[in-house]
Amino acid sequence: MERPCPFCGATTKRELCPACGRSVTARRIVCASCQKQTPKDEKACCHCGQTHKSDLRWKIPLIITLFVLAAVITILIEFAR
Amino acid sequence: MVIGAPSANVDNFSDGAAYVYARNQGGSNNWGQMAKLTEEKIKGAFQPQLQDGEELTHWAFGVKQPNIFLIMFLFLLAILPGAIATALLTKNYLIGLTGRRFIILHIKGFSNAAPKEIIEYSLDELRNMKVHTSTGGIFTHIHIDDPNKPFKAKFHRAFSKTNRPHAMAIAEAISGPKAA
Repeated sequence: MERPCPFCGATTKRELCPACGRSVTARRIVCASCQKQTPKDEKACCHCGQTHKSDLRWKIPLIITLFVLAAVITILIEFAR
Repeated sequence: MVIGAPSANVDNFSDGAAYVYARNQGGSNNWGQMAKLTEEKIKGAFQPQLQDGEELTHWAFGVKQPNIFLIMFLFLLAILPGAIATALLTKNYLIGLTGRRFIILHIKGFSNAAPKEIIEYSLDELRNMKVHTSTGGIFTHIHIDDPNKPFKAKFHRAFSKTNRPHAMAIAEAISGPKAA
Protein backbone atom coordinates (compact mmCIF):
# COMPACT_ATOMS: atom_id res chain seq x y z
CA MET A 1 0.00 0.00 0.00
CA GLU A 2 1.41 3.36 -1.06
CA ARG A 3 1.59 6.10 1.51
CA PRO A 4 3.15 9.55 1.75
CA CYS A 5 6.29 9.95 3.82
CA PRO A 6 5.32 12.12 6.82
CA PHE A 7 8.67 13.93 6.58
CA CYS A 8 9.30 14.68 2.91
CA GLY A 9 5.93 13.93 1.30
CA ALA A 10 7.31 11.45 -1.24
CA THR A 11 5.02 8.49 -1.93
CA THR A 12 6.36 5.07 -1.12
CA LYS A 13 5.33 1.48 -0.56
CA ARG A 14 8.39 0.74 1.55
CA GLU A 15 9.13 1.14 5.25
CA LEU A 16 12.12 3.37 4.43
CA CYS A 17 11.38 6.40 2.28
CA PRO A 18 13.49 6.26 -0.95
CA ALA A 19 13.65 10.07 -1.05
CA CYS A 20 14.75 10.98 2.50
CA GLY A 21 15.77 7.57 3.84
CA ARG A 22 13.69 7.84 7.00
CA SER A 23 11.29 5.25 8.34
CA VAL A 24 7.78 6.32 7.36
CA THR A 25 6.35 4.80 10.56
CA ALA A 26 8.93 6.34 12.88
CA ARG A 27 7.81 8.04 16.07
CA ARG A 28 7.48 11.71 15.20
CA ILE A 29 6.81 15.03 16.81
CA VAL A 30 5.39 18.29 15.55
CA CYS A 31 8.10 20.96 15.43
CA ALA A 32 7.23 23.86 17.69
CA SER A 33 8.84 26.26 15.22
CA CYS A 34 7.59 25.23 11.75
CA GLN A 35 4.70 22.93 12.81
CA LYS A 36 5.89 20.17 10.45
CA GLN A 37 6.42 16.54 11.43
CA THR A 38 9.96 15.52 12.24
CA PRO A 39 11.46 12.27 13.62
CA LYS A 40 11.58 12.23 17.41
CA ASP A 41 14.94 10.47 17.40
CA GLU A 42 16.66 13.32 15.55
CA LYS A 43 17.97 16.18 17.66
CA ALA A 44 16.81 18.93 15.31
CA CYS A 45 13.82 19.44 13.03
CA CYS A 46 14.46 17.94 9.58
CA HIS A 47 12.75 20.95 7.95
CA CYS A 48 13.86 24.09 9.84
CA GLY A 49 16.77 22.81 11.95
CA GLN A 50 15.24 23.95 15.23
CA THR A 51 16.44 21.75 18.12
CA HIS A 52 13.72 19.91 20.06
CA LYS A 53 13.04 21.21 23.55
CA SER A 54 11.24 19.03 26.04
CA ASP A 55 8.38 20.52 28.07
CA LEU A 56 10.04 19.07 31.16
CA ARG A 57 12.70 21.79 30.85
CA TRP A 58 10.27 24.28 32.39
CA LYS A 59 7.78 21.94 34.07
CA ILE A 60 10.19 20.32 36.54
CA PRO A 61 11.65 23.64 37.84
CA LEU A 62 8.10 25.04 38.12
CA ILE A 63 6.91 22.04 40.15
CA ILE A 64 9.94 22.21 42.47
CA THR A 65 9.41 25.98 42.90
CA LEU A 66 5.74 25.44 43.81
CA PHE A 67 6.59 22.87 46.48
CA VAL A 68 9.40 25.02 47.90
CA LEU A 69 7.09 28.07 47.91
CA ALA A 70 4.38 26.10 49.72
CA ALA A 71 6.90 24.96 52.35
CA VAL A 72 8.32 28.48 52.80
CA ILE A 73 4.85 30.06 53.15
CA THR A 74 3.85 27.41 55.71
CA ILE A 75 7.00 28.04 57.75
CA LEU A 76 6.55 31.84 57.53
CA ILE A 77 2.95 31.55 58.73
CA GLU A 78 4.07 29.37 61.63
CA PHE A 79 6.74 31.95 62.63
CA ALA A 80 4.30 34.84 62.26
CA ARG A 81 1.83 33.31 64.71
CA MET B 1 -1.02 9.23 67.77
CA VAL B 2 -3.24 10.32 70.67
CA ILE B 3 -6.30 8.29 71.63
CA GLY B 4 -8.88 9.76 73.98
CA ALA B 5 -10.50 7.55 76.61
CA PRO B 6 -13.30 9.58 78.22
CA SER B 7 -14.25 6.86 80.72
CA ALA B 8 -10.82 5.53 81.65
CA ASN B 9 -10.95 4.44 85.28
CA VAL B 10 -7.88 5.81 86.97
CA ASP B 11 -8.86 6.40 90.61
CA ASN B 12 -11.78 3.98 90.91
CA PHE B 13 -14.10 6.35 89.06
CA SER B 14 -14.46 7.52 85.50
CA ASP B 15 -11.77 10.11 85.18
CA GLY B 16 -10.88 10.05 81.52
CA ALA B 17 -7.38 9.91 80.03
CA ALA B 18 -5.45 10.56 76.87
CA TYR B 19 -3.20 7.77 75.60
CA VAL B 20 -0.23 8.58 73.37
CA TYR B 21 0.92 5.80 71.05
CA ALA B 22 4.02 5.76 68.85
CA ARG B 23 5.36 3.36 66.27
CA ASN B 24 8.38 1.13 66.98
CA GLN B 25 7.73 0.97 70.72
CA GLY B 26 8.55 -2.49 72.06
CA GLY B 27 9.44 -3.95 68.70
CA SER B 28 9.78 -3.04 65.06
CA ASN B 29 6.62 -1.46 63.62
CA ASN B 30 4.80 -2.01 66.89
CA TRP B 31 2.44 0.68 68.13
CA GLY B 32 3.34 0.93 71.84
CA GLN B 33 2.01 3.22 74.50
CA MET B 34 4.26 6.27 75.01
CA ALA B 35 2.56 8.15 77.77
CA LYS B 36 -0.80 8.61 79.40
CA LEU B 37 -2.10 12.01 80.39
CA THR B 38 -3.75 10.74 83.56
CA GLU B 39 -5.67 12.68 86.16
CA GLU B 40 -2.68 12.27 88.48
CA LYS B 41 -0.34 13.83 85.95
CA ILE B 42 -2.73 16.70 85.35
CA LYS B 43 -3.12 17.30 89.08
CA GLY B 44 0.65 17.05 89.40
CA ALA B 45 1.07 19.71 86.74
CA PHE B 46 -1.14 22.10 88.73
CA GLN B 47 0.38 21.27 92.12
CA PRO B 48 3.30 23.75 92.01
CA GLN B 49 0.84 26.54 91.14
CA LEU B 50 -1.54 25.89 94.06
CA GLN B 51 -1.29 27.94 97.23
CA ASP B 52 -1.63 26.59 100.79
CA GLY B 53 -5.09 25.26 101.48
CA GLU B 54 -6.08 25.66 97.85
CA GLU B 55 -7.46 22.57 96.14
CA LEU B 56 -8.09 21.88 92.50
CA THR B 57 -11.76 21.05 92.07
CA HIS B 58 -12.11 20.74 88.26
CA TRP B 59 -9.72 20.36 85.37
CA ALA B 60 -9.89 19.66 81.69
CA PHE B 61 -7.71 19.22 78.64
CA GLY B 62 -8.28 21.33 75.54
CA VAL B 63 -6.67 22.62 72.35
CA LYS B 64 -6.65 25.85 70.41
CA GLN B 65 -6.32 25.39 66.71
CA PRO B 66 -5.52 28.09 64.16
CA ASN B 67 -8.33 29.96 62.44
CA ILE B 68 -10.36 27.66 60.17
CA PHE B 69 -9.55 29.85 57.15
CA LEU B 70 -5.85 29.55 57.93
CA ILE B 71 -6.21 25.76 58.19
CA MET B 72 -8.07 25.66 54.85
CA PHE B 73 -5.41 27.87 53.27
CA LEU B 74 -2.61 25.62 54.56
CA PHE B 75 -4.38 22.51 53.27
CA LEU B 76 -4.80 24.19 49.87
CA LEU B 77 -1.16 25.20 49.94
CA ALA B 78 -0.18 21.57 50.49
CA ILE B 79 -2.62 20.14 47.94
CA LEU B 80 -2.27 22.73 45.19
CA PRO B 81 1.35 22.01 44.15
CA GLY B 82 0.50 18.31 43.97
CA ALA B 83 -2.56 18.99 41.83
CA ILE B 84 -0.61 21.34 39.53
CA ALA B 85 2.29 18.87 39.26
CA THR B 86 -0.14 16.07 38.35
CA ALA B 87 -1.78 18.24 35.67
CA LEU B 88 1.59 19.29 34.23
CA LEU B 89 2.97 15.76 34.09
CA THR B 90 -0.17 14.15 32.66
CA LYS B 91 -0.06 13.37 28.95
CA ASN B 92 -3.22 13.43 26.84
CA TYR B 93 -3.70 10.98 24.01
CA LEU B 94 -6.16 10.33 21.24
CA ILE B 95 -6.01 6.85 19.73
CA GLY B 96 -7.49 5.74 16.46
CA LEU B 97 -7.76 2.47 14.62
CA THR B 98 -8.07 2.02 10.85
CA GLY B 99 -8.17 -1.12 8.77
CA ARG B 100 -4.36 -1.03 8.56
CA ARG B 101 -2.97 1.07 11.40
CA PHE B 102 -3.25 1.96 15.05
CA ILE B 103 -2.50 5.68 15.35
CA ILE B 104 -1.73 7.54 18.57
CA LEU B 105 -1.81 11.33 18.82
CA HIS B 106 -0.16 12.84 21.88
CA ILE B 107 -2.23 16.02 21.98
CA LYS B 108 -1.58 19.35 23.64
CA GLY B 109 -4.35 19.21 26.20
CA PHE B 110 -7.72 18.04 27.38
CA SER B 111 -9.44 20.62 25.18
CA ASN B 112 -6.80 21.13 22.49
CA ALA B 113 -6.51 18.30 19.97
CA ALA B 114 -3.44 19.72 18.20
CA PRO B 115 -0.87 16.89 18.10
CA LYS B 116 2.54 17.24 19.73
CA GLU B 117 3.67 13.76 18.80
CA ILE B 118 2.45 11.01 16.50
CA ILE B 119 3.05 7.29 16.95
CA GLU B 120 1.76 4.73 14.53
CA TYR B 121 1.81 0.95 14.37
CA SER B 122 0.71 -1.19 11.48
CA LEU B 123 -1.56 -4.01 12.58
CA ASP B 124 0.97 -6.47 11.14
CA GLU B 125 3.71 -4.84 13.23
CA LEU B 126 1.59 -5.13 16.38
CA ARG B 127 1.28 -8.88 15.93
CA ASN B 128 4.98 -9.17 16.72
CA MET B 129 4.90 -6.82 19.72
CA LYS B 130 3.97 -7.40 23.34
CA VAL B 131 0.59 -5.75 23.74
CA HIS B 132 -1.11 -5.82 27.13
CA THR B 133 -4.68 -4.65 27.42
CA SER B 134 -7.20 -4.85 30.22
CA THR B 135 -10.53 -3.34 31.09
CA GLY B 136 -11.55 -2.65 34.65
CA GLY B 137 -14.51 -0.92 36.20
CA ILE B 138 -13.39 2.54 35.19
CA PHE B 139 -10.41 2.36 32.83
CA THR B 140 -9.37 0.45 29.73
CA HIS B 141 -5.58 0.05 29.83
CA ILE B 142 -3.40 -0.29 26.75
CA HIS B 143 0.31 -1.02 27.07
CA ILE B 144 2.57 -1.65 24.09
CA ASP B 145 5.84 -2.97 25.40
CA ASP B 146 8.17 -2.19 22.54
CA PRO B 147 11.69 -0.73 22.97
CA ASN B 148 11.42 1.57 19.94
CA LYS B 149 7.83 2.68 20.19
CA PRO B 150 6.58 2.13 23.75
CA PHE B 151 3.10 3.30 24.67
CA LYS B 152 1.09 3.14 27.84
CA ALA B 153 -2.15 4.93 28.65
CA LYS B 154 -5.53 4.39 30.22
CA PHE B 155 -8.88 5.48 28.87
CA HIS B 156 -11.61 6.62 31.23
CA ARG B 157 -15.16 5.46 30.63
CA ALA B 158 -16.61 8.79 31.79
CA PHE B 159 -14.95 10.88 29.06
CA SER B 160 -17.91 10.24 26.74
CA LYS B 161 -20.59 7.61 26.24
CA THR B 162 -18.64 6.03 23.39
CA ASN B 163 -15.15 6.25 24.90
CA ARG B 164 -15.29 2.92 26.69
CA PRO B 165 -16.72 0.77 23.82
CA HIS B 166 -14.27 2.35 21.34
CA ALA B 167 -11.29 1.86 23.68
CA MET B 168 -12.33 -1.74 24.34
CA ALA B 169 -12.74 -2.42 20.60
CA ILE B 170 -9.27 -0.98 19.89
CA ALA B 171 -7.78 -2.94 22.78
CA GLU B 172 -9.32 -6.14 21.45
CA ALA B 173 -8.18 -5.47 17.88
CA ILE B 174 -4.57 -4.71 18.75
CA SER B 175 -4.18 -7.54 21.22
CA GLY B 176 -5.64 -10.03 18.77
CA PRO B 177 -3.99 -13.23 17.54
CA LYS B 178 -0.21 -13.10 17.64
CA ALA B 179 2.19 -14.23 14.95
CA ALA B 180 3.35 -17.80 15.44
